[in-house]
Amino acid sequence: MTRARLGFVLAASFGAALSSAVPARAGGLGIAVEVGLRSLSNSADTEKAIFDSRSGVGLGLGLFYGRGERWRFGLDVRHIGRDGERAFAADRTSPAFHLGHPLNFTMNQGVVSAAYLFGKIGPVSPYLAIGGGLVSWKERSDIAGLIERAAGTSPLFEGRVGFERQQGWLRLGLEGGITFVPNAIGVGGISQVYEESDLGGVFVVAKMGFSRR
Amino acid sequence: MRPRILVTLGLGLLFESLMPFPWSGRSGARVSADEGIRVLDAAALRLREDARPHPDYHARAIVSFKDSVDDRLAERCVEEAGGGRATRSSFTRRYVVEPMAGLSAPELVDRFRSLPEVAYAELDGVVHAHFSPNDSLFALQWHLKILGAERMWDIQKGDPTVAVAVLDTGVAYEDFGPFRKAPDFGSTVFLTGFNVFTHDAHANDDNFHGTHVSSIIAESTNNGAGVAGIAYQSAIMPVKVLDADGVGSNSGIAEGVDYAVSFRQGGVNPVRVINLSLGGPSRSQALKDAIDRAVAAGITVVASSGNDNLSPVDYPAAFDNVIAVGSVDLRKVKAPYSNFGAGLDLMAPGGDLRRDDNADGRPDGVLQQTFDPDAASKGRYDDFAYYFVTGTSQAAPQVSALAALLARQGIKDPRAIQALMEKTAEDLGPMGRDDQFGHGLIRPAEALKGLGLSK
Repeated sequence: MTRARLGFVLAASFGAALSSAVPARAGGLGIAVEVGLRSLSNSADTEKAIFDSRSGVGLGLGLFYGRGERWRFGLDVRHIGRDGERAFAADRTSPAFHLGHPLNFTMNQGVVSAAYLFGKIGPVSPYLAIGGGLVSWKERSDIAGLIERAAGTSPLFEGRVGFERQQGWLRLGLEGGITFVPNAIGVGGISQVYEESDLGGVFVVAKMGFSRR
Repeated sequence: MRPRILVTLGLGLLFESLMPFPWSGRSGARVSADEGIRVLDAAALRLREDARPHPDYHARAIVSFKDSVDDRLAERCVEEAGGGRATRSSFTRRYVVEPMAGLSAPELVDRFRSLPEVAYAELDGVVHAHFSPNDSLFALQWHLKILGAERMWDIQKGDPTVAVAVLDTGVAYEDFGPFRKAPDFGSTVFLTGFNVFTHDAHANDDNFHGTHVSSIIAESTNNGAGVAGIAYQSAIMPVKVLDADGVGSNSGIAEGVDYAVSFRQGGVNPVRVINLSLGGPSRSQALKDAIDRAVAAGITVVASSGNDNLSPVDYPAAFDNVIAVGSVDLRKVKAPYSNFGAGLDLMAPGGDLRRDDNADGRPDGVLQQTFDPDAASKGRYDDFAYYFVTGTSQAAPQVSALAALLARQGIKDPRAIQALMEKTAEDLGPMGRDDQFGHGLIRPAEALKGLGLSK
């Protein structure tokens, strides 16, 4: 099963669970975990060249604080890992060829965010959030036993939309959005060939939170 | 048996001055010639190796991690200990680590020893490269040192499913009539050849040039004898388009190109590269069309720039979709004979017989196997030896061999192969591409790495 299919099945299962939950209540301190698929769609050609467009699995852990019925503030840390191959393309309009050398790419993100909850619509509470933070990324290639590394730290910005339901102390939510990590790459490697410099992209995650009623 | 040197200076120059389509080989110096195959004085080889400076292997650490430590944790430990460039063993969780600037190797070893994840750490000592062929004359192949061949072979050695068509004076690849297979082609794979003069499959060399060129590409290697070839596990397709004097025609070469393009084996064409160590001043549409068909079929076409120290480069190197290759000497200086100009793409070591920059007592030519051209002129094609030969003819097959390795590594498009070689070339002369060096000297190991996401 591909990661995309796995993600779809997970999301569908999560959606089904949501439909049976009770409406959410805002307010108080809580923690949340998340799992989902995160892409590098802002550098789509680079992503396709190295990862064959397969999305990466991201795991996250967060703290949130609800203030009143409408606002929530959060601090999230996430880890995203992806495996691909080193590649080459003649120029930005050309297809890439894989060279068989395994490449692993990881990102660790730390994000603070503010969310606005629109109130209950039917059984769920939709919300809109914006956030900012830092991403630390590492690239590691194994070329016949020689390890090549690259790493960097860059600012991150993101916008998210989602909805959740609360059932007792449990919160279940689905969230999608886009992350921007401008000027993080593009001065070397295949990203330079394709003239792409942003490490962000669209994502979809399922969240599970715990907070007092 | 004492090795003796025979110099055949001037033969190539004579050909070039007389021929409408001369081969680009320049001149040769013979290492030894007794009974065809000979053994170089082993004592002399040892002396030379002793004089050669080695990297300071003691300035790095060997560290082995406990079985419970996975690769990721091990690499984190390397970083925490102050390790810089780290090379992991292919077989165990053992790393060779160079210290970061400001840290000595003994200090790095001490830091490793303080980590609970480390089974042991020690200073490195003098070791052999991952792959160092045991061919007896390998130490004299300075061009392979310049190319970083041992690291290149760690990554890719070629494969018989990828073939280089050598359009030349033929190749000593079979026993047929008076022709003999060169001894150091023992394990080299040859595809069915083609002779444009006789229109049969016997592309036997009656000159010596094509055999030397093929030896550069795919001489049998690590067989304990002779010399090494760059893409030695690739196949060679011998195509005879030049006669015994090294003369050919545009139509004959076009015919040879078309043969290589149309060849099928098991329904597929293994030819991914065509090497043309030949050239002339005249542009031929027939040859251009044949080369266009080859490139459209995914075949990379490589040609020598010419040996007149003139601009522009000869045809077919001057065609846009042909990789034009010039020659540098051991110092990475443009060889005095190498043609140049706007059409020049890349450089490879073609040498200069008038120099001995590595002070090995040998002229700085490209050492490969072929047969005695003087004996060949008398109808004998079995007097094999190892010759130092210089010329852009010797530079072009090095680029062809790299193209074959890149094709085997996964690059299918000739344009991408050329772009990768150019992007990873060592820039020589003025910064950026220039007419004397093109994009610079090929760096096979760098090209074979490809590109990462950000580096």
